[in-house]
Amino acid sequence: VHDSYPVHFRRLLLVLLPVTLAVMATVPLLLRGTQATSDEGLVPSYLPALEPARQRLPFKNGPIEDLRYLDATWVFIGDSIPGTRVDHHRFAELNNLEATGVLLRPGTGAAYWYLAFKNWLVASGVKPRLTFIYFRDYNLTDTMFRLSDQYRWALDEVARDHEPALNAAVAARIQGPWAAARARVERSYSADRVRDWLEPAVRHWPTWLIVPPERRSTLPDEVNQRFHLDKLRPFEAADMDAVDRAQADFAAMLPSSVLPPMIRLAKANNLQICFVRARRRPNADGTPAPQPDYLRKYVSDLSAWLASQGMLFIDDTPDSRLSLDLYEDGDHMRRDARSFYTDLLNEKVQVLLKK
Amino acid sequence: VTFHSLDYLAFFGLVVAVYWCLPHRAQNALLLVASYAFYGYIHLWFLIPIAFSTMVDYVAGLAMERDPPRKKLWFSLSLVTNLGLLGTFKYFNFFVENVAAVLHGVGLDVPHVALRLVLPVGISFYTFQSLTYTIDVYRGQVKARRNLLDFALFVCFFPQLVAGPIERARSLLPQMEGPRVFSAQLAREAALLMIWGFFKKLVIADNVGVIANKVFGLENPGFFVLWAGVFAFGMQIYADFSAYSDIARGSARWLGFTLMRNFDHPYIARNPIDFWRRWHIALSSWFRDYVYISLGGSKHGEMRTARNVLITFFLSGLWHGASWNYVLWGTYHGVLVAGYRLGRQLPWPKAAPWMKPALAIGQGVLMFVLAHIGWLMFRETNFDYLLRYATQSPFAADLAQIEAGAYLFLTVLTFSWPIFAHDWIVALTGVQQLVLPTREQLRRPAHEVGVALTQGLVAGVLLTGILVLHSRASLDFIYFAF
Repeated sequence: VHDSYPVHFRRLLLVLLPVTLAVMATVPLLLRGTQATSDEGLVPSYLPALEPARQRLPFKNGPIEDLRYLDATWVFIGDSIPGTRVDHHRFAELNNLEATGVLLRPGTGAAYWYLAFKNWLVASGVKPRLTFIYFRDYNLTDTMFRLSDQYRWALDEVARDHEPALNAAVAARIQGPWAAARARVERSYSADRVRDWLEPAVRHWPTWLIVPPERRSTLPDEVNQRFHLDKLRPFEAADMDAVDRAQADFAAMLPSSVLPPMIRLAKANNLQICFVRARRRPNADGTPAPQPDYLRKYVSDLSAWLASQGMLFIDDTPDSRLSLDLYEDGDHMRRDARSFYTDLLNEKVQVLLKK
Repeated sequence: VTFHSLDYLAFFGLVVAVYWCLPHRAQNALLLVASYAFYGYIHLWFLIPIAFSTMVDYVAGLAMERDPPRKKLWFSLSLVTNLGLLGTFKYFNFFVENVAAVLHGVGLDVPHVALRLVLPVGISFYTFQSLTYTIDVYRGQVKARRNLLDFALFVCFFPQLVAGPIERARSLLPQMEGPRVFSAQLAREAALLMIWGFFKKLVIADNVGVIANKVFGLENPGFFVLWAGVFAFGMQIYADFSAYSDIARGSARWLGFTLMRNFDHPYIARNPIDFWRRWHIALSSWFRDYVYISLGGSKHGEMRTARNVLITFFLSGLWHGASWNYVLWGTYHGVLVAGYRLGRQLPWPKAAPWMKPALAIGQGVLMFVLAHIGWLMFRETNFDYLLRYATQSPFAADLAQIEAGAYLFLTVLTFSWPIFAHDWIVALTGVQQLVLPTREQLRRPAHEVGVALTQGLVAGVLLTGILVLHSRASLDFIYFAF
């Protein structure tokens, strides 16, 4: 093609190629402009490996005061799974009215549970007899689970200005030159911050055309409910459990999880933790949700490791008394089943403590 | 290495940088090494069948030319080798299962036999591409090649190795053999084509693909949610596959090669024949040239033509995968094409001029719906579910389901509107490639500067879209599975 062109035109073409690429690389800088006015109030993130400076919610001191006031003997940490299972008043009744503290927040993951343990329970100086931490399948070693996007705000309430152990675990998970390069590019364009508001807006706008104003904020959640585990084909539900085979390698996941610092902290403060693996919603015929072999191996390795660290472990999965009729939606339990569940939990705890 | 990874960009950047510093023969050697590295990186053992297919076709091509009396024998060797590889890796278990099921039906139980083999990625593409060489040599349309390096590169050229476009020997081999010239103009176009491909994959296909996967994972989605899912899949497969083709064409163009267009705005097609002239052009033209025409094409009356169409589409469906739903999908399209051919012979009344635009839109919408009925068959591999879906009634849906379906539909539309905008602008303006300048415009410096800046701006907007709206779920290219 070039041979037929005059020399000056060929030179122009060669110059225009980098010019085009430069224009392409420059256009996304407009994203920075959209963020220029909102740069006030940015603070360095407690997870610099994951995100740049941003606005954050303040740390919540309230739970520390509450724990001190209660001088809790039992403490529950977790998300909506223990939130819809455990009746802490009932648990106190079953244990001579000993105070029971709850540090539960829906939509949280291992990072939140670790920070709640460290920054609220340990910081309060309270020494409960037992601290319960609930999880499902691989959640405990899934450092990235519910860590970014909409989950950041929950994490803010429980995070201090610096969280080196959590940041190190996150950095270990997202390490690699490509991840670093990609993060650098996204930050240089402020793309990650624009994404924070743009993505929810894009997913929200259809509600304007479909439902009246009072239902606009709830429609996406209503649609999500249609895809809960109990609505899936049996085979697909099994696949959901086996999200990622790599996650099931306990030995590989452990070093870059929050478990080691959590256990170190517990030992240093003479606290004992009882990890409770929740029973996923059983099948319609009452049989347990399918578990691939590698998930069984993962749980067995986790259990052995916790025992070696002097911690307790309860696996609700094989407990057939937790039947389908106790469940409400997904893995959540019905309100009127909480008392029954709490009795069963207490029974298991007493057996463990006697050992 | 997949196209939408940073590994690929690094790999490709390195290959391009070294490539243009080398003389022609060394360029081909580099491309061959790079192509085998690219393919072997997915799985080292995948190199064995591709090298085997290459050697057999190379020898068969030469032998057909040197030994004309045994031409048929050598051609059969190539055919049996390529189709044998495909049959063994892709269809053996499917065949055995179905034979066993038939025998079981007549009361004969046979022991379960299955090959536990990993399907080599792209085997359907490179065996068909290699066959274009031996078929054309057999037909005397292409000369047998003596240079093994060039021929091996033709079979495994990395930009189009895994998912096409399936090139013809007569088009790609001469490009392999002749010297290439770096064109800054073409490189700009190629960059734009590639970034449009990345946008379609990362922003459109992967975002709507999540919705399609979720809907097809439901036990009982209901009519409206199901069809929102089918719409999502229709957009996903188009965005995903055309993205792959665009990135492949863009990559090849940076290396000085021109690959064929695989998609020509298929969702503006107005009838089944039009659709297949626009959808997966490389494969449909392969089947047209090597199967349909070999069967006699349209030369022997309408009924024979209809039979040939049905056989061709049946095989085209089977090519997509060892599963009856692909066969059903192919046959469905065969029926549409054959039915349309027969239907247009009828004495339809002529439409008044004022009705023509509305008629064109109506035809376009109808073809869009028909294509999506086909996508339901393509996506749903379980026949029990397919039958259940076929009997679902929109009147059984409650308001909540209609709202959910509308929400999902609009969400899919939100992500996929750039494709519709692009296609409809093309349809309304008649511009073949909206973003590319015409040859006549290329020589004027002022125009060239304007084009370059416009290309930069468009690419910048697409890059911005990728940065802020790329899906968090990174899905494989759909056609990797075939």
